[in-house]
Amino acid sequence: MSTVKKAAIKGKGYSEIIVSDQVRSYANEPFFVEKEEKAKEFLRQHPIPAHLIKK
Amino acid sequence: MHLDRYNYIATNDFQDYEFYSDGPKGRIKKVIRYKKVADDPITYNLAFGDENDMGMISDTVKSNNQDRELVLTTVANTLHTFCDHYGNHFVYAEGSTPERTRLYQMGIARLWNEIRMDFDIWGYHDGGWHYFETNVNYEAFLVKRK
Repeated sequence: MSTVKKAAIKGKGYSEIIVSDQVRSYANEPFFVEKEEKAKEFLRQHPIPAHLIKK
Repeated sequence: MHLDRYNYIATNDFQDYEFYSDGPKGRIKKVIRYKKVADDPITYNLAFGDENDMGMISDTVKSNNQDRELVLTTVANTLHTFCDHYGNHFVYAEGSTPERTRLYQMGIARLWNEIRMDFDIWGYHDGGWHYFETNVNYEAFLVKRK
């Protein structure tokens, strides 16, 4: 049986969010896999410049 | 950033999020996923779309639910939650089409005064990454929490 719990998020997050094992993982969802591959390719072609990394 | 947002639900690993957009077109399920796509520097991809009743996800459908800012604010809040657990790393995002990316740019611009308090944003255009400006059209975005 799935459980739902509330987690207080510290830091800059606000209020509470619900954490649930009823939310399915989209790790293997083709839509997201394609997006991730596109992101990798874009960043390979257009890497983040050093001055942004040092910021 | 204290703007209204939808409530959302996260997976136990805080990489996947769900919430529902409510508006004239009904209740539309939105899903968000963060996934590491580079190690040096550590960069995550942020992708989100609408999930239909068949479980198919798309970001090419115009939902026209008249809540674009509320949706963007909710996505920004999931970014806070994600960063609370994974750190303040670069997060990459782009739309599925130039038009969709333009919509993201317009949404960021409308909320820029709020967003800039918590996040640095860069956009890619004219062959380079530049700090976000409201009147520029970008091909992709990099976000990093301050």
